[in-house]
Amino acid sequence: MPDYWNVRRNADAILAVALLATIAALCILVPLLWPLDPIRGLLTATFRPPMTVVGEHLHPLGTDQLGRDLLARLGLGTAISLGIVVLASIISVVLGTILGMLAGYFGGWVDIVIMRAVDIQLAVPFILLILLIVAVVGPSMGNLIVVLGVTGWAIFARVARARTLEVRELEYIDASRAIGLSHLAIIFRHILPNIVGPQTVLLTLDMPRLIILEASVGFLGLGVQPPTPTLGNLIGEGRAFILLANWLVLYPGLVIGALVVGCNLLGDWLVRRADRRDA
Amino acid sequence: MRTLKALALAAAMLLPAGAATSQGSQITIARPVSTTAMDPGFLREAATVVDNIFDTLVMRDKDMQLVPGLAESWTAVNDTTWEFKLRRGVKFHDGEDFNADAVKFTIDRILDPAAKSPTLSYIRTISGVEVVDPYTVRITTNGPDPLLPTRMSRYPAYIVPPAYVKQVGNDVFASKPVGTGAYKFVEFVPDQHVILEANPDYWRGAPSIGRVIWRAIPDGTARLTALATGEVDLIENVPVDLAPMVSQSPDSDLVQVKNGGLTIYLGLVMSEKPLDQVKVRQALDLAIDRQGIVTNILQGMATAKGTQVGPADFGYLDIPPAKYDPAKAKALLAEAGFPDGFSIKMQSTNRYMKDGEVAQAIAQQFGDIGVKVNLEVLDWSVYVQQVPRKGPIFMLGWGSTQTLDADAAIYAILKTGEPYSTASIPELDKLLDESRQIVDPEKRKTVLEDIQRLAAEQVPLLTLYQEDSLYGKSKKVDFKGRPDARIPVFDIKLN
Amino acid sequence: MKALSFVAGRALQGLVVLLGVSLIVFFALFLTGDPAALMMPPDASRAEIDAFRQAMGFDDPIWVQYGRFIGGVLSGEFGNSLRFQRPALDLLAERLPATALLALVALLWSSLLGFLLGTIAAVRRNSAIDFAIRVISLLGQAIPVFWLALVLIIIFSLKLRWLPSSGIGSLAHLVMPAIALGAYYLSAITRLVRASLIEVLGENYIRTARAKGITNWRIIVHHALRNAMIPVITVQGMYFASLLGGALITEIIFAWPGIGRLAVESIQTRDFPVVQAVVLFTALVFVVMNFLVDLAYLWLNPRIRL
Repeated sequence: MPDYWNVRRNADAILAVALLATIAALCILVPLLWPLDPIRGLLTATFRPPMTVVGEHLHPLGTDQLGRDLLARLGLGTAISLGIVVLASIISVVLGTILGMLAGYFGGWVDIVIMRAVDIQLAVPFILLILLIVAVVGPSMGNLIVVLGVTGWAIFARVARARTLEVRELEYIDASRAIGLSHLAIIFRHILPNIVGPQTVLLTLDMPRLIILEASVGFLGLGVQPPTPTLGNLIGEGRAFILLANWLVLYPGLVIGALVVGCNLLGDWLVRRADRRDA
Repeated sequence: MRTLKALALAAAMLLPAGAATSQGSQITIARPVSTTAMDPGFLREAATVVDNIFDTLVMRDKDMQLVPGLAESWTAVNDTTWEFKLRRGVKFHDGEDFNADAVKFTIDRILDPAAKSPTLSYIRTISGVEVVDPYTVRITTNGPDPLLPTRMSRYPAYIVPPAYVKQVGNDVFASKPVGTGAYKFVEFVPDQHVILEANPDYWRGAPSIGRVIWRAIPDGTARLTALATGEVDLIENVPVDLAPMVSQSPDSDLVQVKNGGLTIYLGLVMSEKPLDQVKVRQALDLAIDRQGIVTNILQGMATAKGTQVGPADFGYLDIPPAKYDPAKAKALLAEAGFPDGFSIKMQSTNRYMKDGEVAQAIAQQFGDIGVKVNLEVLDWSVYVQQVPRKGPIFMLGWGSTQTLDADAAIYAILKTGEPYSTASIPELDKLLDESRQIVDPEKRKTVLEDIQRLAAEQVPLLTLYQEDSLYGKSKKVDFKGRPDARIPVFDIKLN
Repeated sequence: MKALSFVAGRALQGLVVLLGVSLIVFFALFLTGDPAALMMPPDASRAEIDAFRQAMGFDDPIWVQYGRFIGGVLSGEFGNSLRFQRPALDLLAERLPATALLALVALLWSSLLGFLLGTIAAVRRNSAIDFAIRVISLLGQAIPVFWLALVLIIIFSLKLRWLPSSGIGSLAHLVMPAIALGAYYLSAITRLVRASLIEVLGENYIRTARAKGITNWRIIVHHALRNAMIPVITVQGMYFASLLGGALITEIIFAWPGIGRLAVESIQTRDFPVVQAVVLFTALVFVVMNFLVDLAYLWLNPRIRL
């Protein structure tokens, strides 16, 4: 019997799937099916606590500072945040993997230049860098994705390089070189497949960082422009009202918590499975 | 060794600051921004702290009337010359005498182009200062300047001690100021506090509060908490939504200064189509539910308005705000050739009372008449560089604070070509120029009123509302709040 | 000799990194725009703004400004803060003790508790305690710093009135900022210690030690933890730069007079010299930390050779 059915051993995976499925339902079903508008509000119905009925509409999570339904905003906001985080991750992974492989494969100057760039990237505090970049290019969803993506490649490059160094020495790589395969072909056909696994795991572990980062950027008011909701914007805007309407930061906070815990547990589980396979 | 020293310093920071005073009463005031430098001639921030250390020639009493300060009297000798008779026997905190030389030194220091004073523009009409005798000065202006006494009542015109400034230099002066004011400077620890101590020899009498501690608490919730827990006695900028918490608490009161804040407006870049059409501008004006915004978003802590001039300003004309009428707005748009509306970009920032929320609400209301708004809420540091040229609709707060004259409230934002103006109406320009050349108050008032009437018709910008200013204070503090946003601790009493 | 060339090589790499950071910061700041517009009063005329800009040297071509900047840095001179009218380096030095104190205390409590929790979780692997510790430590990473900071203020200052809400001045003032800043590290360290300890516990020499009958805790303390510290320390070095990021938000909310708050306020006012000084200083600390981490490897695990 495959051991994924062992509840005790896979408690983390089960919890992860449950959490992530709930989030998925939230950000797919709410925008599609929930009748209330996430952007338009009723100014006469601001700060209504959860489960309040206004007119003929029930607000299960209450309303915000402009009388908008929090559930509708949370659903759409989660979907948008996830979109941002996923796209940014893709940029990070692709950029980091390619540069890391080049550094590891060619060594020498290529390696030195790329790895110093990694150090430079890591030496500048993320938030300061993002503050600076957003101040230059202006805040927008596209810019945010690019900024998060471009500032997150360093760690992927490190891992890709380390793995490439290991793989490069294997016999079949030597053999490919002997039969005259180009560098590019070797890198993409033979080295890349060995890196995909570790990068996927790293990705699940890096996602939470991006989710928090998006929230922090939203907190500082430099993210996606209102009235578009994201998890960061919801908490960032709601924080001013934390004494008055704590649900505005509580529920988005719970969603962030569930996402981060879910991703991490999933990542841990993947690491463990990989280890077991290696052993 | 360095590390040890740093750690010792860090440990020292944990000791209570400037151990308890024997001088009795003390007040702690929390502001959202830190004090950075205290040279009144070179301020880049509000003069709130400095105002307690220094005096001006002319002062404003609590009803905002100009009253004698370091000058006992002033008269206009002719259209371009003002004579000030100075108070005798006043000394700076270090013992230096206050006299006409100090006045000349103060103003010359700011006018000196090499000094690069950031607030030069506030007194740029001055062409020279002449010492007539030790207690008489004459200030000459480039042209007629009816506002000169007002200019002498605010920064950068706080009088500084010449010998001390020359001795220590501007940089040291900014961190160890010496003035003639009610409070003497004691200690400045950047980002932590400024401590002041009563000046027992103050020319208006010794202040009743012995010691003042100014702190900076940027976060609104934290600032409010500090008041609630009694860590501070007075706070600036109470967030509007939390105002009820302050007023309902048994330990604290809310001080609401009606019309104490800026007048918020939407600037329209009139050179951009379709904002060049008066009907479009009028339509936008009618599409905004100002009262709804004031009541529901600002919790009544502002007043919907139809003119940029504040009720306390000289020249104010009470123009009611445009009536909310989306149907008529739509009709006007159709007449202007936009039956289906249009798309336009609008910029706002987070600096004023809930301005981010207000901008979103207005975007929604414009949407109701078919004008689709792409909203951009920018960080102030970015915003201030784009406004007012980008827009084409942008939100800004403006006021006449501390001059209390319509001129400051309108000229800079309505006159064609002024840095912050995006309006361009020739008739209006003519009136604005005229208003600056008249010295006679009655005639000037008439012109200022005409300007406001014309602006209401032509709608070069959309006046929204004037903010109140909100302070929170502990019950034991007797503080009323002033329309010019100063906090003169001399006038505060502790019960 | 080997050690010497290692040190020299590292120093050179560090310099290259610092130069790169200086370039990035300088050009990014240059692009963010004109400080003159921010520093002049709103009704200043164009001519006055232009005159100010010229006087401050913002008119020169960018490479001239960069040259001037690097020249200054080499002679320990970042220029005067535009906002405070004082040397940027002095401002940094004044605020350093506050940030250092906060960071050290945060790192200290989170490391101690993290090692304890991580060790317990590793030893009781796959038990309910392990699972609980893992989920709790994940939550630490899931809570944004600003969220935690505000909740702490509401609970401990506003409701319970146990702790002062903001500022600096006594040990009590340090408690909440240190908790807020340390929470993230607690999670990170717990997870790392657990993971690396589990790995080490599975290795042969530990099994041998066990077979020899050495008691469990002795093994953990004397053998396993020492080795498990290597990845923990590596990550510490990498996290350091992000510590300032966390400190930045913590310092703003608790009105803590440190360099994070200085950095944000300086970016907001385009106070170039101060931003440059803060970022270069952080980068320097990062480079030095990583250098120390490399040295720590040698000490912790003699098997690693240069």
